[in-house]
Amino acid sequence: MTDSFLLTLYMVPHWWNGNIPRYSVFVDDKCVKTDTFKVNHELYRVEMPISLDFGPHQLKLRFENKTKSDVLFDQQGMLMRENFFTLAKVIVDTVNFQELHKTEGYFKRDFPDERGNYIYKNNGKFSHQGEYILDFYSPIHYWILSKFDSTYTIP
Amino acid sequence: MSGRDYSKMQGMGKDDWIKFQLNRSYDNPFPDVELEMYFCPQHPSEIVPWEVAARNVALDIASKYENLYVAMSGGIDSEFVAKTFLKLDIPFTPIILEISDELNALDIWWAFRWCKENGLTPKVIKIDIESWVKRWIGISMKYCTRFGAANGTMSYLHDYVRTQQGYLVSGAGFPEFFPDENLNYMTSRYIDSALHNIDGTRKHGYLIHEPDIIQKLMYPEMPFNFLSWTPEIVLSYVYHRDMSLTSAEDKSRIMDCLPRPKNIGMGDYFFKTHTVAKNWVQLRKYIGTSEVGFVGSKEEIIKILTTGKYD
Repeated sequence: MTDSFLLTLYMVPHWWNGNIPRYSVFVDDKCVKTDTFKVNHELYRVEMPISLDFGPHQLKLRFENKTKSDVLFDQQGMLMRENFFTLAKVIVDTVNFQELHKTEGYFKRDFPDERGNYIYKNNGKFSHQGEYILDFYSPIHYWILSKFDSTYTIP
Repeated sequence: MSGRDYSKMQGMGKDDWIKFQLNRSYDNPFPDVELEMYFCPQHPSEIVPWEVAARNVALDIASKYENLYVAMSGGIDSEFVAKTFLKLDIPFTPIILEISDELNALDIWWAFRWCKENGLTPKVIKIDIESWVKRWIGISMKYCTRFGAANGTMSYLHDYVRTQQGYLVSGAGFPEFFPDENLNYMTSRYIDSALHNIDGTRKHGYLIHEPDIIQKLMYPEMPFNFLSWTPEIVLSYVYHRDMSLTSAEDKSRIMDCLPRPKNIGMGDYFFKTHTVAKNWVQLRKYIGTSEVGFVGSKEEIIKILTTGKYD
């Protein structure tokens, strides 16, 4: 069976030089959208109709063109300026992910940090070269249902 | 219906005479029939006056269960249950759930009024809105069900009654006739697949709501469904229902209770504005395509219940 839904991402890009951030969205490693942002410091909406077979899938969001020259430090090594974007909101049809994209997704850097780590718990900020990864299954609304937050122990 | 092994299905009511199976699950998200529901009486029933059928239910429950509580929502159904026990001098405690911010105040006003008029002191369970929301969302998650609010509400009462080693009876589990103005949301806000034919026309007959089944799954020991406890009471209602009236009008007539408004406005506003609840309402539209079990037409039900033959 096929699961069809409209995936809407709300992102907020920030850039200070001429290298406008480029994002790409992949589903199961197939690129469904790639573009540069059209606004700076504002909410930017991207809509993608998605059609998937029932079963496990993977969503990826990549920051494609981050370079060293997009980051500016002062003489003490403090961050002055940087190109980055945040993933503010994920909507599936009319259903808001709320915090789900943060609690279930993670960020995988292309290059390790000074401790050798590649994986970061996602905080919604894209400031490294790498990709945001979210494993889910279809039908996606059932997956959202299964993850809807609750602390109550049910009889 | 033929070919189904009813003996392996779960049941509710006296001797589990109403068989059901909830087929929707995370592993089977869109089954052909989401909620199977069958009337499987062990014997033929006679058509008796409504008061006689209700009396028989009350006496049967009282003979098998002690320390009875009656969940009172303020609606006609639960008031009738309480009234029947009272008339027969069967001891029970009314129990009322009060949600903070007066969310259900307009409804339970009627329950408090009835208790006062009859000299009964209800047990009142007070909860705050956020824990209520958290609870019914948790229930919906666990049972993969489209509708959790009713179960969330009832679960507080069941939980309390369990702590008292008691048994909860209610007006839930009532077979309702469709189409009806109170059920219009199943044909306007969404098209319930169990209540419509393939060509889009509406079926005409009786249904039982999914939350009643969830309630049974959660609290299997409770005789909660007074109004469908026996084939006899269902037969009596179906037979005596005046088809020219709405269900609300007819229940008021048959159960001899004052008519009262359905206070859906406040609830509706809450579900459209509460941050989590409004998102939940959006989500549930995509979970399955039905939230009822269709039992059959008036004629089919009368035939099954008067003959005792369902296969």
